[in-house]
Amino acid sequence: MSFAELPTTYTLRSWTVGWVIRLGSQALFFVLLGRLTGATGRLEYMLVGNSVAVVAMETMFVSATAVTERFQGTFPLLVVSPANMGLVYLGRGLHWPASGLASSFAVLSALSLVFSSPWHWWQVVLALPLLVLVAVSTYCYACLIAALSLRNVKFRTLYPETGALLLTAFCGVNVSTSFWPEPLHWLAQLLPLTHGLEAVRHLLNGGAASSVLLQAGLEIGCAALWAGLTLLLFERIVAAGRRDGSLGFS
Amino acid sequence: MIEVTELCRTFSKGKRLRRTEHPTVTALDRVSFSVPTGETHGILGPNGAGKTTLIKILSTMLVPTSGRAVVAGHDVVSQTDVVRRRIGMVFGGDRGLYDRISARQNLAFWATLYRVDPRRVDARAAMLLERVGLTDRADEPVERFSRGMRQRLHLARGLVGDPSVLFLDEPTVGMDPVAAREFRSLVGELRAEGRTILLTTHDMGEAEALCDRVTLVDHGRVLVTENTADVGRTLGEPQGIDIVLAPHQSETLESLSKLPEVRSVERLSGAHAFRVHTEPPASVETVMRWLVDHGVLSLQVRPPTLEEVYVRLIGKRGLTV
Ligand SMILES: Nc1ncnc2c1ncn2[C@@H]1O[C@H](COP(=O)(O)OP(=O)(O)OP(=O)(O)O)[C@@H](O)[C@H]1O
Ligand SMILES: [Mg+2]
Repeated sequence: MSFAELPTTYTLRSWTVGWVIRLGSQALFFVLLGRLTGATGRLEYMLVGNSVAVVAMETMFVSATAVTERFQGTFPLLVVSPANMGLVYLGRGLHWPASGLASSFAVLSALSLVFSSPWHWWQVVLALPLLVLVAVSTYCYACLIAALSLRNVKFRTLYPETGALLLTAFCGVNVSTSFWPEPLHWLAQLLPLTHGLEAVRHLLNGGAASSVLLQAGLEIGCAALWAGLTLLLFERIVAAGRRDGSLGFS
Repeated sequence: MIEVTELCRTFSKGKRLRRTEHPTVTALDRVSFSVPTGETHGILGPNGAGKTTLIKILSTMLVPTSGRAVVAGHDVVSQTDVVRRRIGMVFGGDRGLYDRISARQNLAFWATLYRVDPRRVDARAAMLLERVGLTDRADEPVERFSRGMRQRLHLARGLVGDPSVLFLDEPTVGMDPVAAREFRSLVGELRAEGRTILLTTHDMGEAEALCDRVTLVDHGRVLVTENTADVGRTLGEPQGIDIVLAPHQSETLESLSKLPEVRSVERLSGAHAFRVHTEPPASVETVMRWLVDHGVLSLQVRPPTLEEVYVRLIGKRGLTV
């Protein structure tokens, strides 16, 4: 089902031409900004950060898919089906992390090539599993935001925008997480992307395998955290809807 | 199969701005009735009577304020999960389908949610499409479907879990007569299979054609639950006499309508065919004798239609809400 909907959003050409270029150029913009500042390693830092962030941006679209459920009148039908609402939603939008992963990997490879980065091509390939992790964890986070948008359809654009902003600002995409005051620094540790991105950086900079794996493990933890919160929130939304009668179908 | 006892549901009016003040609307007021296995039961009543609210509670979409409801042997509040596996839900109107994917994909998606064995999902979808006559258009996006086709797909969707209880909330609303008739014959088949069906409708002909029994509700209260054919008799509604007059009997018609026992004479669609409504009910015999004495040869007593009963019962309250 999820993947059946993918062609209705993208054709192969619109995907390559549209998204990869759109998100790629956004990454490129920051990379060039990094080059302007001139500091050594700045360019690479922003290149990796923005390439990996591409997947986070794309998973956020799941929020839009989820909200259409309200407008299509399928939401109450999902409620009365024997399936768990939260699990259904986590499964419903799986095409987003998949296509996000592809976009992200494409942008990372392309920019690495263009700016003749110091790392080898096989390191980029090795980063792929880490990107998968980031795709999954940011997707779980995006599903929570989707749940919020569903509950409060009025804010259906505000929530994903804010959610994406939190990731790009505080998770070490353009500036290190330690740049931010203590509380935000700690918040970033709980957000998805932070650790996955750190793992990619370690990998590309030839860091120790153990530190790569540690960060990867932390990213998995974040994914589990956000998936759990998403399931919980959906349960509460359904329970509230059944109580106040907001699950309608006309 | 469905057992409803003293069911109540109130809604708070408008937004909850102040927690202290809670003006409420009573959508269901101590509703009780039961539907045995295999029965097709109609819920009839004017707009806002509480029909949809009732169906929502029985289908676990809404919790009652008080009272109890048991569907397929399980409580709708405490045993939600079991109930959900046994029921199917179909409502009328344009919504409730995924428009951008095909009919087949819609059904496959729902079949998965209803825990159909993954190896049998395709077969189940194909079988249901066949059953509702959509096989030829199965792979087209649903947004291209007509209202009638959408509604048939909706019905197929309601059947993916092979439910023993089926809820149909105004399933033929907005359908053209031919489409509605096709839809009804599908429901008739489901009834013949022994499924228990709870149907709401504003179409009395539909209720008469499909329902074994009906429950009339108004203002959230049950007025009566009765066999569809017997509702009028139980309520002491006057029977009607259908007559066909010979062309030269127009004077007879005039004096007939002046009889004190005759409430009204309604013109039917056939030439010189009329329906005589008497008052009080017992006066049918008197009027019959009068008709025979005046040479009216074609006459037939018939029970009031459901629509007549409905209009007399509900119509009394006029347009006040
Ligand atoms: N979610 C809700 N919040 C507040 N009031 C509601 C809600 N749902 C229903 N009501 C009220 O409950 C009453 C019964 O509504 P319901 O939809 O059950 O009627 P119905 O019999 O299905 O009418 P119709 O024939 O128009 O479909 C109405 O007065 C309605 O305004
Ligand atoms: Mg209704």
